[in-house]
Amino acid sequence: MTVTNEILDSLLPLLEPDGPELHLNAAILEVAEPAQLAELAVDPRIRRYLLARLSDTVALVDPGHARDMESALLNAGHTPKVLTGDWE
Amino acid sequence: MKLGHVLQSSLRENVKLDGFRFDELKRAARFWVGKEAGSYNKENCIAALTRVMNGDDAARRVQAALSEKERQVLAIFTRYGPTVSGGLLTAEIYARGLAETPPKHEGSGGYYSAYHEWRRNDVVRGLCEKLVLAGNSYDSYYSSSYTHSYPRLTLHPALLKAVAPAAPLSWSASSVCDEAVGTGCRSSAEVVLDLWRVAAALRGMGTWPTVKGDSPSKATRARMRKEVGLRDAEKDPLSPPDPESLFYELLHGMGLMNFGDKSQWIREEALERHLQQPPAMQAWHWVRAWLHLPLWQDGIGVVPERDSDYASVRIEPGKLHLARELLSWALCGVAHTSNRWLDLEAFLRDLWQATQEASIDFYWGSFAWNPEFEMARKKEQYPAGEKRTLAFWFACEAVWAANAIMVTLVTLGLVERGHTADKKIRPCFRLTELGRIVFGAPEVEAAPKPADARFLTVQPNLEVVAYLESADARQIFTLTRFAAGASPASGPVQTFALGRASLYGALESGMTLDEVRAFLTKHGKTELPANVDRMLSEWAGRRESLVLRTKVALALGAAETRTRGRTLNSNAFLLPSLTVKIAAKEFGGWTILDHEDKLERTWTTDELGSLTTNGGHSISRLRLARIADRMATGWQITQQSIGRARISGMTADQILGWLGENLTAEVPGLLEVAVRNGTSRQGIELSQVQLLRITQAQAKEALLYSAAFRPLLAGHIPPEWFLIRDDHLSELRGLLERLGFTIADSLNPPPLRAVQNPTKDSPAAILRIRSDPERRRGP
Repeated sequence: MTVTNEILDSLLPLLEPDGPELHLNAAILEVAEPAQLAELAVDPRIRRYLLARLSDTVALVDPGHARDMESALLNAGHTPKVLTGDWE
Repeated sequence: MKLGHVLQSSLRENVKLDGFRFDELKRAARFWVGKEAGSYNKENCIAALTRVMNGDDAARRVQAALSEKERQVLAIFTRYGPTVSGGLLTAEIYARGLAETPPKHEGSGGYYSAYHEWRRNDVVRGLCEKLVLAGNSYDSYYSSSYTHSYPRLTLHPALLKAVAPAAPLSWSASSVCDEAVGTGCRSSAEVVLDLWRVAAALRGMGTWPTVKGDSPSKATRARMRKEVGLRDAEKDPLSPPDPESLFYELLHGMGLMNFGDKSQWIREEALERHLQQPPAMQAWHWVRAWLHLPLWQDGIGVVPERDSDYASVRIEPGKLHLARELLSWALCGVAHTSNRWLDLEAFLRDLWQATQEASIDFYWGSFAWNPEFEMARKKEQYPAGEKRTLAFWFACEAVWAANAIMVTLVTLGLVERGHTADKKIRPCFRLTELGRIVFGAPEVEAAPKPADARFLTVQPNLEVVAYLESADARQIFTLTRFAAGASPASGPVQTFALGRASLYGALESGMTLDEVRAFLTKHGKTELPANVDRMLSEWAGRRESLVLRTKVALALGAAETRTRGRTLNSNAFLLPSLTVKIAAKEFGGWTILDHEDKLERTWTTDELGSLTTNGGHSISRLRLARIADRMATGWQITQQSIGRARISGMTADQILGWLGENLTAEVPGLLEVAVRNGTSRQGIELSQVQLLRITQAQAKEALLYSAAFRPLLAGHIPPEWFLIRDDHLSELRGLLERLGFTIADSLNPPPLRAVQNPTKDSPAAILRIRSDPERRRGP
């Protein structure tokens, strides 16, 4: 396990539901590198809206806070590409 | 895109035949149907007129029956109409020589017969009687009774194609200037930039305080002034007063604002559509909006949406509209003559002559710029008569017209101003190319311009210097999408700054990096500096590396159930969006969570934060793990768990929000206090004290105000408790005994009764408890 993974595990546990779940109208944050996700997860302004990790580069946003997440990213100096309904 | 006439009106009036008298209907029926209508009764007249007017050959029938003069009047309607305002119709009729000048009332006995003769020969009146032209009877009454101006009239729809539109009139100027000096005009790009900046400032506000008429309030105007800062009349009398409000009202007039309960009053898409139109089309809409602006007046600025009989607060909007219309009509004529410099004073005298019967007539005393016309200065010297009337007109209405031409229309890029080169300096003007196209439409058309004008220079310091005179308005709009204005400024050369935020805004609005690069390369006078190109790529790359996807469907379960999706990990898949109905059908047996819906409430807690959950989904468990500690029997919210949540960025309100969304009952008050204490601790004090209780009112008051007791008391808890200083307890006891009090050695306060928790911190509820009479009285 790399240092980045360790940090990620401590900050954003991998989402492992007890049974099969389908989440509709969910918001996720996707980055290019695991280190980038770790960087975002250590920032309390961003972390407060992240619930869990879906992979090393994808995190689930707390329901109802997609707009807050967008504002928090912009306020923290990030320039996220915002896509609606796009999954590919 | 071909422009229509700038004064064209598409308004249509419906002719209601049953509103006419029998003799009127009979006269019209004879014209439309033929001589046989002479024997019809009223009902037959209406039926025959309805049939003929709606018939296919109505135009042919009527055309044959019209005189040449009548056809010329109809041609005015097909040029400007189907509806033509009274002022415009009057000016046109006299300018085209279709009516005699009305007889002057000079007290002679023959005036009334001359007047009736003039009325009888009036071609417009004749067409109204034939129901070829129709108008509002209210307008007709007032126009015919008090002035020689015609009312607003509409051509019968059956005749719209019966006559070809009248040819444009050219302006016959009594004086032209050979040359002008000190000239100045604005490009359409400069105007677009001003309009865009005001719109951007308003967009930044979202909504803003307004006053009557949706006009900006004083505070809004001050904010626009601060953020946009256009040059105004206070700094330069040849700049408009309240220039930001001029552009505000233009945006309003063009329907680019939508006042309501929305969070954004600027209609973003409509604004973008407007700014992407050809410059002449945009300017054509500015003039159309300006014609009707009641709350920003030329040479005056912002005016209130009210009138006063005692003190003028604005030019009466109807009169101002007529004045703007007649001035525009004159400028339409100017657009159809050679592009010579016109002496302003001579032009206004010509305007007065040409519109005497329609009459630009109002009163206003003070304008931002006063050209001090020669006739106006000498107005009192003229004897009663036409010259004196004109001189007074030059002191008021002409000053308004001067402000409209030399300030407002210059600001909108339609007029170029200057002054004569001879010794006697006089203001003069001519239409800009844009002005000729707008006022000369539909005959004068814009010449095609190369789309790749090189009007900017990108500097290595990421600044873009734009030369607006060479730019197309649309190109400036595109530039503003990805480069921010470096500072509030106006002028033909302006500086923009490329930045990460501005590029991000453009990319988020749908532009691509390649489009930005191509634009800067295509319109750049020099090559795009390599470092700028690198920065643009880097900024765009950063955006690509961080994606926030909203409204996606996530399947967290066994892989074989997925038909189509993107794998995030062995147990998580991103799917195309699904409706709840389809999801329920395709994912039978799965827990379905709609993030836009309310979550199932499965938590219960006591006021000390001991929390249990009845089943629940992953969101519920993840949230619990963030704010509570796992215990053998369930979960416990502790100061440590709240502290941990706080370190991860959560606020008390966010934690309470989660509790509120997941608990089956309300959040207990004590738990709320504990959560808030966990994020910002409240200080309290606790220690042992000596208490004295006196219930008898007179004794209590005496003790409270006694100089002998004051040093012994540490405090008073109304209504009957006193705190005693520890070191003065025996001294107090002695004093009380000396005064005859019987002192009990112990206090037996009644047990605290259960009190229902009032609605959260409601002052009214707290007051209710404090004033509870039983508690006040005590046991």
